[in-house]
Order: sequence, then C-alpha cells, then structure tokens
Amino acid sequence: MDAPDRTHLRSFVCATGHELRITHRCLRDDLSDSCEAPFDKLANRHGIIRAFRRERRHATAGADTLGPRGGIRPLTVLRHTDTWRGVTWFDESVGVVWLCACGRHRSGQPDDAFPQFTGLRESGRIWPSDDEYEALAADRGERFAAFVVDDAARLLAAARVAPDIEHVLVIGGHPIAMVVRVVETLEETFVAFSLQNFSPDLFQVLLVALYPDRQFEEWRQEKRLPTRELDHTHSEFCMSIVHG
Amino acid sequence: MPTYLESHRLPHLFVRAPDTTGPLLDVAQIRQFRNDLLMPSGVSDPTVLMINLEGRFPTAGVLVELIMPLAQAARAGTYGPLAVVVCTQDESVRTVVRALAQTHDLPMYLAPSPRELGEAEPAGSLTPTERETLEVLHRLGGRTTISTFAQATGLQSNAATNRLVNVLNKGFTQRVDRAGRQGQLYLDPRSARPAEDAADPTSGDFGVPEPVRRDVRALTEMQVREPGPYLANAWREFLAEHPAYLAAEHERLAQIVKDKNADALAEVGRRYAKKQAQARRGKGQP
Repeated sequence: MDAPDRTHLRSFVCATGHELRITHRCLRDDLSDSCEAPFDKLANRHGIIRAFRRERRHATAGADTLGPRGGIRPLTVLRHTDTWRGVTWFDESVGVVWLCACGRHRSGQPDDAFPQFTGLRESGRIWPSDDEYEALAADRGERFAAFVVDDAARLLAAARVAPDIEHVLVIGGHPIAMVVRVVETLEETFVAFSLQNFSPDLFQVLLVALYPDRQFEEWRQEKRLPTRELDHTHSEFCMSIVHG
Repeated sequence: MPTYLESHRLPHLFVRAPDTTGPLLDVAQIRQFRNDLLMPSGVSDPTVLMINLEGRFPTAGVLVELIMPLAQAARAGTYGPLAVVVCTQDESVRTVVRALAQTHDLPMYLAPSPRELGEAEPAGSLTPTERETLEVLHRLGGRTTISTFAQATGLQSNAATNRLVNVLNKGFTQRVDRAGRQGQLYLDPRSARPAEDAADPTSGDFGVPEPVRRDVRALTEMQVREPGPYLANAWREFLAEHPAYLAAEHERLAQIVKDKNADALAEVGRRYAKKQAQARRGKGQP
C-alpha cells in the first residue's frame, strides 16, 4: 500500500520516505518567519521553500556542494530564480533534509548569500539545534497519532480482503506489517513493526486504533508473522489478537 | 546479573555536596561528610559518586581528606564498582585534584558542574592510547561491547579487549556482565544517569509514574545505543514489568479514540519527544 506525499505540521513528508524541514535559525533570521509555522503555510509565503519541496522531494541532495569539500555533513545548493539560493543537508540518521540557510545571491556584494552560508557553517550555527530534534520527535509522534486511526483501519480492511498475505502501510513514518489469518469462524490479526523509533505510547495507540473495544491483555506477543520470521536486526516486534 | 533494561539504566549517578558553601576549612567535618557518603556494604551495580564542590572552596587539607580515601577505595574496589567525579569550576581546586590523581595514580574525573558530567575530563595518569580508548567509548555513547568497540576502532577482538580491560583495571571505566550472547558491557562513568527519572514539568511525560518513565528512558536510550534483537527483549521486559499501567493506559487511549479527541491524541504522540531528543544527544548525534 503506497503513502502519498503529505504536509504535516512543520514537515513535508515525501512518499519516498524522507521528510523536509527548515531550521529555526533559517526561518527566523533568513526568512523572518515563525518557527512554529506549518510547512504548507511557509511554502505559500516563500518561493525558496516551494523550490525546496520541488527539488528535494525525490532526491535528498543537490548536485553542487557548498565549497569544493563536502565534509562529513555535506551542504548542497538549492536554486530558486536567478537570485535566491539555499543550502540543504540530509541527516540520514533521522531521514530529514534540512533547509539550513537561504538568501539572495549577488556576486561580489557584501550581503551575498554564499559568504553568509560559509560563515554560518564555520560558526556551527547552520546546523539544526537540540531543540529542533525534540520538535522533530514531537511532530513525528503527533503525526503517527493523527494518521493511525484512519490508516490502521485501512490496513486492517485490506488485510481482511486478502488474508494470509502480508500487507504493509507506512503510518506516520513507521512501516506497519499486517497479516490476517482466518481459522473457521475466528479471525486472527498479526501486526508487526520495528521498535527502533517506536515509543510505548505509539505502540498502544496502534493497538487501540485497530481494535478500540478490546483490552490490552487480549493481545499476545508473537515470535513470528504467519508469513515469515521477524527481522531481528531491525528490532521487529509482533503482536496478535483473536477476533470473531 | 542485570536484565536488558537494567543494564541500560547503568551506571547509577548520585550527586552529593557538603552542607555549607563558601570556604571549607574543617577537616573533621569533611571527614564526617565523607564517611556518611557510602554504606560500608558499598554498591553492587556500577555507580558514579559525584562530589559537587560548586560554590565551595576547600583548603588543600580538606580536599585531600575528602577526595583521597574515596578515590583510593574506588581504585581498590572497596565499595564495589564505584567511580568518583569531582565537580568544580575553581581552577586551583582542579589543579590540586589533577596533581593528587597523577601523583597517587587515582582514577577520577573532573567536571565543571553536575549538569556537565558528559564534559568531564579524566584526571589521572593515562597513556595516549588509554585516553583514546576513553574518547572512543565516550563517542559510542558511553557504553560498548567488545565487538562494537572493535568495529569502531578497526581493531581485532583481542586487541579491543586489551584496550578496554586496561582502562577498566585503572578504574576509569566500569563493566557489566550480561546474560548469554549479549556480551560484557563497558561503561563510561560520564554516561551515568540518576537512578530515578526526575519529574520534569516541561516534559510531556510529567504525569507518567516514575518507574514507567525510568524504563521508557532506558528503552529510548537503547534505541539509539543498541538497536537490534536485544531491544525487543527489553520491550518484553517492559511489558511484563508494567501490566497494570499499560492496561489502564490502553483503556484511556481507547476512550480518546472513540471520542475522536484529536488534541489528546496529539499530546499522547508528543509525550516522549523530550526523552527521544535527550537519548539522541547522549549518543553525540548528529
């Protein structure tokens, strides 16, 4: 099951799996905008953010790096019209492309964007701060909670239509695998997910979204999906419940 | 032997400070303070004792009386797996502590403040290779198995073991024996966390019972430090440890879903964001 591109809170969530965000410093200092503004509103207001969405939704980096050396955190150049330039960094550890800085490119002028970018990189101010990683975690948790009620029902419906087959849906950035097995009049639902970025709350919200009228004690831990072994290297975990 | 979750709550951190601030002149009083710090039975799990001298200015005699016996006991293992960290921003105190550690070959760390334990410097006598070992361990989030350390340094397993055992024998690291294939875990005292997860009004999990918060912290740190099959085992422990809380929470969440209460659901989703960001910061990412 495919998930479309989605805008949610301060992120643009790409169908390919990564998301786009803008650093607080860039919003505040370069665009004179609010750090709390949702991505879609920012895209309406700023052409460079529309270019960011257009150019980084399929590719996590541009062709040109800032300066000849990319470094361990390479910044790549984003272009919008003749004058606007930005630099983006793909943080693979969290799957986010950050728009780290933007400005007008006027060769030889004191306020040219490129010397500003270099200065910000040298001072370390160009990178997202600890608070921004907390905001990212908060937005992701909120996104999962916002989408799980509808998406889990959709996944369950698809799994019921085609039992004994594994169905996978990415819900709020988390791939959720499901197999429904029918034994005479009973239906057994198996749900598996990676624990690597899952909190106990999200885990419980997922179970509740699937069967809101069932008790937590009715869920059983499973060692495998009916269709395959669990992927232990990615900390996959499986629960099941009998229904009917 | 600690369980999966327990091993990720180690080392335990205890911060203690003399009652008075300002000049510390009374040797007998500081001896009493030091004697009250530890039970004679000592500690069984890796523990870090942080002596906070912020705003306190001990004489050299007081400092020797306070620090020397503790560090000697830590090196000898008299009180079990104990590491000592001294917190002070006073450069003269730092100089005396460094000199004591070097002269008497004592394992100690020096931190500017209790909030900056991660920035603490090893104060004793260490070779450049031993300093590098501590640096790699610190970079790995303050805990490593031999295989992870070998992978990070490009060393063979035997050489990695020797490097880690050297700093362990000098008292600058601690070790936990774990069951089965998990392997021994080497700990950097600078990664110690308070045994309890203090309630933080700015955190979304403020209302969650402390034992649950503490275990969620361990799970979250494990996600960053040691993802893989052991994480699933730790989750099983978590589910077995807190059945009543999870059952009640399940009921509350079911009501939120039935009520289509989007705000409450969003709050649930955000609840552990601060813990996740803190765990990430502890690993030194990005």
